[in-house]
Amino acid sequence: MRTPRRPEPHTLAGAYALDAIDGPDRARFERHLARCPACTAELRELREATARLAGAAAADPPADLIEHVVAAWSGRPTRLRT
Amino acid sequence: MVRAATGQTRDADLQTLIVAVARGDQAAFKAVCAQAGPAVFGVVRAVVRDPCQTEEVCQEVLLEVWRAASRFEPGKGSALAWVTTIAHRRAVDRVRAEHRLAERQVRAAWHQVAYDEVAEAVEARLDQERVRRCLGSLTSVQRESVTLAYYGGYTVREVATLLAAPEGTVKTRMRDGLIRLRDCLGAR
Repeated sequence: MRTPRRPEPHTLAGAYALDAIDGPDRARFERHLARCPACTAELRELREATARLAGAAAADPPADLIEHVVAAWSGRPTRLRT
Repeated sequence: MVRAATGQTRDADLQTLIVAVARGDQAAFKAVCAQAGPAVFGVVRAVVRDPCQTEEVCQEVLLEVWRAASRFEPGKGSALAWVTTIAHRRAVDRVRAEHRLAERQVRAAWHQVAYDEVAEAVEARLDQERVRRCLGSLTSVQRESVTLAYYGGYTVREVATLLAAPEGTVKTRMRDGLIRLRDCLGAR
């Protein structure tokens, strides 16, 4: 039986951009990123693609969601709706 | 193209706002929430699904945007990519803490359907039709690998199980799929 070859780290940019690797694999790829300008540049471009995937799913959040966040940010208690 | 120029202008606005948030500008933070809120809410809802947890995660994301604003570097990618990267990471971390594969596998069959529903239910947004068309230009394995991971929050290992494909193949398809998507979206 053929032993599966360990993939090169730079093939992981896509899976990393999709948050599809985690734990030790994520940490390992992040260490690789720190010393691989090609992967860093590729990741930046792939994240523009994933951002468009997010944009395509965009929908108006419930109105009070933003109110709650802004209230939390400014340190004011959230006013209860009556 | 008018559409692309508008998207870039909007992103330039968002970049300026995030830089202002880093300086503690409260009005700018409200504007960031208003402008990036729909994309954050959309991606978090797609991954998390539960309405209450979706709201919690959205709040965490927007507050993280505020806390991390000083680390945003406008020269290194769009503001939307910066914000949605935070949102997606938070969303997948939440569902992975909550669910095990066996449970999530059950949901897999209807995930593609769920995405279509989400996409169709939303009123037509600037970029949506173009993204859908470009997703359609991917091979089916590329598209499934990308959408299961992005909208479903699945890991490489889970996607490999769901598609009955080797993990190495799934990693390659994810990368190839995103490169093709990037090329399609970037083309005028």
